[in-house]
Amino acid sequence: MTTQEQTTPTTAARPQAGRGRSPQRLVVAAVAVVVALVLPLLVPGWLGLLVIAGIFFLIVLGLNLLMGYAGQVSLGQTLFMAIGGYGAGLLTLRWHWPTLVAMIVMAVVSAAVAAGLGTVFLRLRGYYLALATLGLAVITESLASGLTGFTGGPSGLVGVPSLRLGTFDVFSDQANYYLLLVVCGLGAWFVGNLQRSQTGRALSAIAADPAAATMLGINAARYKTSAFVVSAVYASLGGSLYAFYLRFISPEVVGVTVALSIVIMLALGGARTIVGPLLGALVIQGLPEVGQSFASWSPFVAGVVLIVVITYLPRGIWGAIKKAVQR
Amino acid sequence: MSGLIQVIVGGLADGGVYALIALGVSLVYSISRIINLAQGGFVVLAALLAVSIQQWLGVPPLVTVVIVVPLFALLMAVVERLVMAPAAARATPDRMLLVTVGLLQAIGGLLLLVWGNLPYTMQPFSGDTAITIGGVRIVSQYLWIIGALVVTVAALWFLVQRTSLGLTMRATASNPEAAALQGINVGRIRLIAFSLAGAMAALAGTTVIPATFLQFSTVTPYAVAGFIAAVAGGLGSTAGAVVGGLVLGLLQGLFSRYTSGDLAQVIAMAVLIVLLLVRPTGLLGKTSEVRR
Repeated sequence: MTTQEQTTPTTAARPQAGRGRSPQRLVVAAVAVVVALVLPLLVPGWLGLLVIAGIFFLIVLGLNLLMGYAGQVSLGQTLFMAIGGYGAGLLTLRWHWPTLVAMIVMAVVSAAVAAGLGTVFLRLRGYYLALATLGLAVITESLASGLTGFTGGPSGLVGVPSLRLGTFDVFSDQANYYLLLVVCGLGAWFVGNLQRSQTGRALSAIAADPAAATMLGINAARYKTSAFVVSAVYASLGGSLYAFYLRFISPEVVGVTVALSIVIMLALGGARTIVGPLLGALVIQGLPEVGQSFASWSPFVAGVVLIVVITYLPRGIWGAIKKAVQR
Repeated sequence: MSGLIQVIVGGLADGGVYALIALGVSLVYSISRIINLAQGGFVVLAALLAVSIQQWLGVPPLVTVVIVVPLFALLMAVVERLVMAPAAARATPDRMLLVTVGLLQAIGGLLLLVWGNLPYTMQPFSGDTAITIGGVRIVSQYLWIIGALVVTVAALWFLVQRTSLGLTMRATASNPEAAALQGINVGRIRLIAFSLAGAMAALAGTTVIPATFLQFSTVTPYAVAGFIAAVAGGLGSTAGAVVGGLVLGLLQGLFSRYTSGDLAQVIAMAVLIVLLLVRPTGLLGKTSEVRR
């Protein structure tokens, strides 16, 4: 995705860095942390939804780095979700690996796959990269349902164990919620720091004008591939956590529709921010929960909302809120 | 041997549908630089609408084509005015892809609301007759699909190469700014392109539904197949869209004979991705701006 701000990366990044240290922002952050901590006590019935939204927040955060900052559309993040989910599931279910080790190993595998694919794929531009990654999404779904002996076919992989931290089983909704709070917090912290760093500016420069960025001495290919690798690690961790939480993974979870909805979450919430992906994940995952009769309406509503947001709110829901507040 | 030919015939029929979708994608792209991922969604919408019309009115299946095709030409013009034009005026081409993703999602949602999650099919246009040539059984509906493709390509060729409207379309496709300066109403040309793409989607949907089962979830496979066929053939190229669609259908058909249907999909995609990397402009494309 091209940047919404066509200003030079340095001027775009500087005010952000300044605001990051303002006391006002610290207060807002502190309130957000407190709310997040007590939320399970306030809305216990919504914990399952919050866990799933948290997992997708993590995945969308990773895509944000690639799509929001580096301006490269990937419609194939489900490939890495599948590697993380099926990989961790199989390693723990069939070969009885420790869950945490399986999750980390699959994240490393995802990084390696992304590095390999990235060097080849990221030479393609715009639509063509979108097409190639969409091809990856199709391949992922087909492999998940086609390799029956390995993945359990269309009915999926059943009986995946819960994540074990030391002697503690992360089994309940509440335990999963707090785990995701920590993981997403770390993930958001990393992306936030990166955004304000030299690397973040280099990525913005590549998104704004790849030719100019190259002339500034930025190795565009290396930065784009790195962003792809990091986004793959986020998606892989998300996939593993999904499998461990639901103790199940199926082709539907890593389907093309999910691949598209990850991109929808980012565009809807607002790219190039931390809150945007969170809002996007909450809206898209939360829509079917609004009501029983509304569940069948939610795909239609999500589509219409995306059209309206892209057309009239170029920076997503969060961008529009920020603009309204600043005014 | 005849089994292999049977597979090729089936693959070509599927490919014919992909080619019709890709033609619509390609035409809209050449005029507006918008990749309409929702094109495959309109195909399924047209197909299910044809089934319902056939049941309500009790008309022969072939008659639904005459009703649905003009209806979709009109519908797509409305979509262009209500959705595409306002979005394109504000969003960059890359973000337009997301608008069409949203449109695809909305169509899938609409199908789920109106037709539920059950698969639908329709009676073949010319009954359950089949032609047998040398032990190869060709379902008559396949001939309707290929016929629809041939008629569409011929009509498009005539329109673009032999009429003055076609000339203005070619001018708009090669340089919209210069065309506008020449007094061409570019907005109107875009409306016509979308309208034609709508008619093509309806033609694809109504001719394929008697040969298969479609439901709300089939919008994504059709959208993906049409998109891939259009790009693999070379965006903006009519012959490319046809070749891309037929090759994609053939690959899927051939591979599904020797492996499972799912793995056939994998190999077909892999071949097309490799093709894209080796020959990034597509089979017949001339675009030079594919790689950075």
